[in-house]
Amino acid sequence: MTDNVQQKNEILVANVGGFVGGTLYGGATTLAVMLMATPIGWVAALVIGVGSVLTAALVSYGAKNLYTTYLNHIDITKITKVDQLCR
Amino acid sequence: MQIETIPEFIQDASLFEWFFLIFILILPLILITLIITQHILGYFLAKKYDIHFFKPPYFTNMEVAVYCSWPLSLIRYATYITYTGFPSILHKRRFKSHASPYIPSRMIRFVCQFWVMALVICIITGPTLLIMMFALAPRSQIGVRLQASTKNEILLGGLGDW
Repeated sequence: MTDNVQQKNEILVANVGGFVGGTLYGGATTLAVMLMATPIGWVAALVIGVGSVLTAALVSYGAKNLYTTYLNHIDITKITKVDQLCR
Repeated sequence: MQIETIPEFIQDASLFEWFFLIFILILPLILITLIITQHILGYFLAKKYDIHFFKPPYFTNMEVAVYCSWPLSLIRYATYITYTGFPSILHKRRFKSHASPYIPSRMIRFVCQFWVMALVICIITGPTLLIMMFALAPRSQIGVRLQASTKNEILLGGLGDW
């Protein structure tokens, strides 16, 4: 909970970036496992799980930094109307 | 109803800003739609295909155990969706020498093909957008500074603080 617009934007960008990163990683591994037809073991399952979490964290960190450094003049919470939902 | 004016940033948004906004605003919506569609299509296709395919030799015992539950069941769903959309791909690899037990209608086949192609496009464009964002970010900053400073200022040493 914060009243700071900058922080609100950072939280939104970090969360959405993490979601996109993790999902894309999941999609890519799904396609790889499916098309290569390699049977997955516990190691592969672990790689899928840990990899998607790491990718999500990395992308969310990167996206947040990009926003803070270069794009803080754009209020994304206002465009998406999130500021009306989360006051 | 009052029509909102176009936000100022859109009028002179740089390429980097466009990429960032597409990545943050449009890509998540497409991905959420794909995931929901995957659950719905997968649920119904699994009912048709599971009896025939969800056993050795098509899936190993390990895979059968792992793909039963969410979230790894999404891999099984994706396999079935791809098999419905593009049967020839999986005929060569996983489901060898097995005639398709279920002939889908043209509509369902089209939806499955569209889903697979949309996923592939997202997987290609997503990381590309991310790389482009990081690559263009410093230039965007330089562009802003170029607009702010005149030619003479650059010649007189405006480059100093870049």
